[in-house]
This record gives sequence, C-alpha cells and structure tokens, in this order.
Amino acid sequence: MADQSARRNQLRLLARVSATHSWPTLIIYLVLVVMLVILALVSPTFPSVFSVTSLLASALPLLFAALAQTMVILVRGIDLSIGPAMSLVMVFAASMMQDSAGSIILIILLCMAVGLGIGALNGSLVAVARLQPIIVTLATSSILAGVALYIMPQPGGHIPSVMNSLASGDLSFIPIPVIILLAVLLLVWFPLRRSRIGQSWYAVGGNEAGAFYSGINVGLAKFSAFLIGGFFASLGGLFLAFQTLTGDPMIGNPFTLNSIAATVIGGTSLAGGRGGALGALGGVLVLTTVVDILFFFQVSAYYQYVFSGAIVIVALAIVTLSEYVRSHRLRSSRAAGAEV
Amino acid sequence: MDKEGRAKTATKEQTNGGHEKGKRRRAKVPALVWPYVAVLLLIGLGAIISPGFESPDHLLLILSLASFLGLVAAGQSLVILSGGIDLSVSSVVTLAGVVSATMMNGSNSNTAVAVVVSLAMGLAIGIFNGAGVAYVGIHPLIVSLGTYSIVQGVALLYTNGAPKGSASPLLTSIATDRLFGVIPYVLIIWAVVAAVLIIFMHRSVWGRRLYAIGNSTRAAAYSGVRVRGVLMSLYVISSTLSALAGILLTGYTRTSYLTIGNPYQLNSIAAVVIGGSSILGGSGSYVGTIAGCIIMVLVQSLLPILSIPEAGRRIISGAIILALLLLYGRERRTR
Repeated sequence: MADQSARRNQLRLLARVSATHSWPTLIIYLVLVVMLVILALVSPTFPSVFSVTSLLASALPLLFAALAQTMVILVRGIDLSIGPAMSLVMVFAASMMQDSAGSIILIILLCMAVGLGIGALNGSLVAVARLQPIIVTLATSSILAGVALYIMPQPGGHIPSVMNSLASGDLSFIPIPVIILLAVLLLVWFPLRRSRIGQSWYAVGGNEAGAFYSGINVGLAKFSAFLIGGFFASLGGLFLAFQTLTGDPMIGNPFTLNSIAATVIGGTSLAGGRGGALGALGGVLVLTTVVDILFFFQVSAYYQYVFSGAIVIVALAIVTLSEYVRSHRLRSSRAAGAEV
Repeated sequence: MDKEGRAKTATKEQTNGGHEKGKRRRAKVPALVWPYVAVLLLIGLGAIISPGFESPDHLLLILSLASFLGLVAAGQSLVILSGGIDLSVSSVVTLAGVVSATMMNGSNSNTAVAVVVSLAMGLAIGIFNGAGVAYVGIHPLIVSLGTYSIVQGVALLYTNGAPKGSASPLLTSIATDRLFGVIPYVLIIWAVVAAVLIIFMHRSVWGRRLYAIGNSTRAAAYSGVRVRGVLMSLYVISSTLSALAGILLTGYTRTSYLTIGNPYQLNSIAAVVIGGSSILGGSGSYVGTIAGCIIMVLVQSLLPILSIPEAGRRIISGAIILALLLLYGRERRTR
C-alpha cells in the first residue's frame, strides 16, 4: 500500500514536471551529451575552446532558423518560407554591403527590416486573411526564392571579411558565438516568453478557442509569432552571409526542413503550445554534432542525410511512445485510486 | 456559409451515409468549380498571349506534362484528405528515377526488372511511412520529413553523387509516344489511375472511411473504422505512385539526375490545395486535384512564353497560389 501511494505521488510529480518542462527537451540534452562524448573520443581537437567556438559558430544560422520555426510552431503554425527568407536576406546583404562601418550597420538594420517585412506578410496572410500557415508559407517561399534570384541570379557578392571574425572569433577568451547565444536566450527569449505576447503564443497554441474565449487576441498572437519569426530568420540569413562572406540565392533552402527537424526533436510539439527555445537549441546542437562526428568517421558525406532523417524519426518515435505509456499509466493509476 | 463550410457539410453528409444522393452531389459542386474555372481562364489567357496555345495538340502536351505531377499528387491528395501530409514524395521520385535509370542502362531487356524494383522500393518506403504514422503515431509531417532525408541520402549513396545509366527505348516510348499519334500514353496511365482512385474514393467503403478519418480520426475509430489499416494504405499508395512517376519521368527525360524529384514536393501539395482540398483533411476530392495539377503546369508553361526569367516565374507562381487561396481557401472566423 505504502509502495503504491509512493508510486502515485511519484507519478503526480512526474505529471507536474512534464507540464512545466517537457520530457523530450530533457531527452535531447541527454542525446547531446552522448554525442559530445563520442565527438570527444573520435576528434583529436574536440574539447578545446577553438573547436567549441567553431561548432557553435557553424550552428548559429540553423539556430536562428530553428528559433523562428519554434515561435511559429508554438502557435500551431509552420513556416516553410524560412529557408528562402534566409537566402533573400543573405543575397541582399551580399549585394549591398560596403566595407565601411556605417554601411555595415545600415545594411544589417535593413536586413532586419526585410525579415520583419517577410514575417508581417506571412503573419497577416495567416492572421487576417485566415489562410492555412503551411500553404501560405509554401506560396511565399516561392515568391521569396524568386526575389532572391532576381537580386542575385548567380552566387556572388561581397561581405566585409571583418564580419566573419566578428561572428565567429572570440572576445579575449570568451567565444563570440557563446555571447550571442547567451544574449539571445537571456535578453530575447526568456523576457519574450514571460511577456504578454509570449504567453499568448502558448495559450493560442494550446487551445485556440479557449484562448479566444478568455479574451486573448488570437490574430495578434499568430501575427506576432510570424513577425518575430521573420526577424530571427533574417538573423539566420545574416549569420549565413557572415560565415561564407558571399551571397547565394539557393543556399538557404535546406534550412526550412532542418529548422523543423531541430525544433521538433527538441520537444516543441507540432500540435502547438508546448516547447521553446531551449529545445530548439538542443536540437540544433545535436544535428550539428552529428555532421561533425560523421566527418571524423570519414564516411561519405551523404550519410548525414540518412542519419539526420533517422534521428528525427527515432526521436519522435521515442517521444510519442513515451507519452503514450505515460498517459496510459496515469490513467490506470487514477483508476486504481478511484477504486481505493 | 462560405465555400469551405459548404464543402465540409457535403463531406459530413457523405460520411453520415448520404441518404439523399442528389442533394449531396449538388452541395459538392461549388467547391470543385473554381479550380476548373481557373483552368479555363488560364487557357484563355494563354490563347490571347500566344496564339496556338489553345490548340488541341498543345493542350495534350500540357496534359501529358501534368500527368507526372498528377500521379504524385494523387497519393498526396489521399494523404492530405486523411489530415496528413507526405513530404517524402520528391525523394521517392528521385530514388525511383536514378535506380531505374541505373538498372536499365538503356536496355529493353532490363526494363521490367528495373520497374519492378523501383516500384517495390516505393512500396517499402510507403510501408515505412505508414507504420510510422499509423502504428507508432508520429506526426505525418515528421515521419515524411525523416524519410525524405533518408531516401535522399540513399539516392546520393546509391549513385555516389553522379547518376549513371539511361532509360530504355521501351520506357522512353511509353513516356513520350502517343497512342495513334494522338493521345500520350502517360496521359492514359494518369487517366486510369485517376478513374480508379475517384471511383474508390467516392463509391467504396474505403473511401467513406477515408473521409471519416479526415473529419475526425477519433470519431472514425469509435465508429469501428480500422484507422491504422486505412492510413497505412494511403501512404503506400502515395509512395508507390511517386515511384511510378519517377520511373516515367526517367523515360521522359531519357536519363536521370539527383534533383529530378525536387519540384514535386511542394508542387504536389500546392496542386492538392488549389484543387480545393482542405489542408486540414476531410474535405476535397481528387477531381479538384486534377484541375490543381493542370493549373500548376499551365502557369509554368505560360510564364516562359512571356519570356519572364526564372526569378519572375517563381514570384508569379507563388502569387497565383496565394490569389487562388484567397479566392476559395479561407477558413471560418474563430467564434
């Protein structure tokens, strides 16, 4: 009896923990630890400041894409235009940016404005015109890819090389990617999540009708998720440009599906209302580490497609099955409680 | 009530058993009319811009081009009707294309084996997708995203990045020749697939169950529908038809390349949706999707005539999809 009630308490605690912190997010960080251990074993250079910096720096564009995707998925949307939006921002920056500091700052601000504009377009089509997000962003992805090709039909352009060292170098001994990461999480994500807007995303994603009846502006919540998502997509495009120091109208394409993959393996639910930036960060780091590990095993680079696909399916299978088992257990324990 | 609502009522009546057949059919028409109106408008536009666009010969060419998309969109249409989505179709098209080209290597005697192997691969991928969605319960978008990536990787590994081989003369003649010099064989294949599919969707128990699942999976399960079996069949059909399209495309282009399937991922979804199906499932028909496929091909063949560069084509085709959606794809207000 005592054993049973202890177990029931345990289950209750489990339910409470999983309501605030999602299990899948914890799982993805466990996977990440395993991956990093493997990487440390196969790579002669891995646990060093330089290798961590370069790992994070290479993960930054996907991280911003995944953050954008996370916000949109939280409100039960999905954004298929993130990749082309990143390409567009990238070619815009590469074709406009001059070497002077004034030009760099001006163009970065303009790129952010472009991102906000794209977000506003998607957001208003979803929130005001009431079209399905998946289709809207499918259509806008075609439009954005067209605009990117119009600006720059062939890869080319120029980004001041100082931006590369700024984006992936280090400040005395703290790597700049780490600073950017912490800044995004501490100064942008956490305040946002606690704000009125952030809360409304979770509410609308969790139960749209419920949110509507409790006085939340559902349209505004969706619009703002797409708007801020567009802003993050533009940051992704900018960091992609800083990494390669050139522009390419097609390079962003894979980021659309990769951002969805990173977001969902980090525990953000496609059903909306659950998940967040920490999960996206874990997902991005896992996907990036896999590529690094495969590199050290000297297998064909094509295996990365197979592995990242398999990771997505296995991760979601584990999440789905564990949720099934958990809900089953909770139900049966509740039934047992009723009998007692 | 807007069109979306009317379409919903139509399917609701259908799943309820549809006692009054005549009434049901009348209620269903409006949602399907728009895509065909758009087809006629686009043909008219083409005839104005470039005389000869409306000639039967040219329209048959358009239809034969639409056949490849039509086969891929057939499976996509079923999957979307059930409330799912299949992102893996494009890589299945590519894999079937490169595998069949490599195995055939330009010889008629290898054709049968190559076709059977490619179709079997499609079937296997479909079973994998179906198992993930129906039996494990993973979201269709995720399962098919994962298989998209895996199959893409397999195609790259199989060809080592450089596809070899070419279509056999037999396959090429099936994909490009015309019956009596008039009707393209691919169009006949598409017509047969379409007819079988439409009959099964609207006149069989399986079809009723499909609409029931799309409207509410839970309600369907409680009414005794074996949801898992039906879902499995949809994903198997989708991948197998995509593989068929990939084989025929290889015949059409005479060779195969690793990006051959890429446009089909988004175009098949777009064709289904501008064909009047709801992306949420439960309403729509392959009859509309056929028009959706023709619209997609018409748009893509009109724009080069206007000598608009690639960039402009993408912008305009995106804008046309948006315009059609604003015309008849809107949801009801939250109330």
